[in-house]
Amino acid sequence: MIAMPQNKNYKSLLEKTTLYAKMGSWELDLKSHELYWNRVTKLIHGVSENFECNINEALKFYKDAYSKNLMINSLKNAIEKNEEFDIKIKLTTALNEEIWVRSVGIPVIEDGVCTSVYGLFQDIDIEEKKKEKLHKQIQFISHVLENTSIGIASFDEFGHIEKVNSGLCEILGYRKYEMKKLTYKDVIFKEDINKFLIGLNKLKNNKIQSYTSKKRYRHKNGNILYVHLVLTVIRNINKEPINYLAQIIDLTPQYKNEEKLNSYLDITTDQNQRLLNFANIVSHNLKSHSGNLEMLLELLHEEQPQLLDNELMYLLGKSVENLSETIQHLNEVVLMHKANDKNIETLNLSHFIDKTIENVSASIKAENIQVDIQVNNELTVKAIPAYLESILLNLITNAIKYKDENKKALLKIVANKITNYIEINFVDNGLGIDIEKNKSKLFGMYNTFHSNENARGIGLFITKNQVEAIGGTIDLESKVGVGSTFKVKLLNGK
Amino acid sequence: MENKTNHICIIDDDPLFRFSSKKMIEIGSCSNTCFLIFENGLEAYSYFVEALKTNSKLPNLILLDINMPVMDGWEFLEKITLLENSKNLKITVVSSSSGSDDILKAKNYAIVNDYITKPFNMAKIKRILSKLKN
Repeated sequence: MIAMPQNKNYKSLLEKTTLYAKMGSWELDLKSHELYWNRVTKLIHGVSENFECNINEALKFYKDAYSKNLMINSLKNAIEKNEEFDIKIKLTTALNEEIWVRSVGIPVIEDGVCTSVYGLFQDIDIEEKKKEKLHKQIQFISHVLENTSIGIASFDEFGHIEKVNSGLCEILGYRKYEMKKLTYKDVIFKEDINKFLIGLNKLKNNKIQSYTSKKRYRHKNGNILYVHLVLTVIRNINKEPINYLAQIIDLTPQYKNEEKLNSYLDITTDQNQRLLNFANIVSHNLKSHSGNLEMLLELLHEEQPQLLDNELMYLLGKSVENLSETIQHLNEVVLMHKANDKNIETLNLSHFIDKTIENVSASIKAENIQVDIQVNNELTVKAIPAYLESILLNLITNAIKYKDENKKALLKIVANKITNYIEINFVDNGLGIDIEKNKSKLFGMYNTFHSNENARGIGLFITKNQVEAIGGTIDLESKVGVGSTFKVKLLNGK
Repeated sequence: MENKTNHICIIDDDPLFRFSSKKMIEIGSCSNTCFLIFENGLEAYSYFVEALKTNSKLPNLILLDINMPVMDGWEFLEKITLLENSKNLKITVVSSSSGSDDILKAKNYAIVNDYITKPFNMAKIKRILSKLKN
């Protein structure tokens, strides 16, 4: 046992010190097999001051095998080999708390024989747990650092690179040892360095907490990289900058994709423009020429009316008339695609349908067609009035024209709200179209599917163009001998 | 007033159109007609600059095409309205464009009093000429 000074004040001071240091003492008398714990040692074990202990009881405080064995072996070596020990072990207190302790043991030898072992017993739990935590944090950070695809580097104010992770090596194409010979001047694109230095200076002078910027870097192979850079400063306790931390995300693939996308967009815009110009020129020039033909023919008739009797003249006149009509249609389509939003109004659908039915009431009556309209009179659509009239007229007359002579003809018009659209279905029980066969031609110009004398093949083409010009879609379901359903979706007026 | 002479100006780059519209007017008109013909806006503009300055007799009707080389119809209208006394000119725009944008644009000029789409036919010619009489 440690010899205690006799002075009482001195003794209490020592006791206080050992208490603050959480350091107790112990002694194992090998003759009497008595184990002595002082107050602090008992406190560390979580037992009361009058706790009577022996060696077997004491060893029960070590629950894990490692700690228990280490304690037993250390004691054994002290007794048998006279070896001192200083070990760190885990102890479970009487209050069932697991804590780290330090145990120091010194054997006392009399005539070559160990008579007792005494030592210190210290609660080092707080320090150990801190170390453990730190270790975990370091591991966590180093795992992140080494496995992330974000490039991370620290460098001093002269730009010398101190630490880099694999992510940065991957991005820039260098090996770690090569990177350490570089400065930022070697990797940042020349034109971007000034901006970078301004940012660095602001950081250094504490004007900003972090500097974020898009920069161009150079890959080892000379290629340009587009990166997103975040720069922060690491300061010592006196807030002086010691080094800088750069985090770099490689945006080159995204950048390249965007570039590609933009170039496609440019090409498409350009082609659309050229197509529109082409359509304008063609329609305008064709119209001039066919107009001239018409005028010359009319003059010929005025001046030489006897030519009218010539069949060739008659056919020439017919051809010119057809040519003009075609060009007229072409012009309408070109104009349609120039339709702008300002002409689009909110229109009452049922009102427009009623008006169209009224306009064709004569042929409905003559062809004996049963019309069934199921359209809520509250529904509105966004459309240009002339287009809506034309679309409705085309689809209704279509059903009349292509009715099946062997059946009582029916036409049902149904409208429903579908999200932002109003879907109008024109259901007939007419001749129908073989959709599979005619897929590519359905809404094309001058395609007719029946030998009807009124079929000009322009109606559906114009209708489709008009529907699309006002932001809608048109589809057809049809079966030969059963009938057709035209589905028109127009933007809801509300 | 039956035998008064009509002065009609045609500004168009298309020789076929110039020929046939002139001919149609000759057929459709019951009075004598004098023609003043230009192949583009610039030729016509140069003529009218002088004519307005010297107070020469102006045509009763100017038929103006829009799509022309050198100076097109729009530029002609733009420039001619800047001239003094230009409001004495009576212009009818004759174009193959039937777009409402072009029609509205033309009618924004005070000196444009009509817009006719090509091609001409006798019915259109007669309508223009009957307006002249009034």
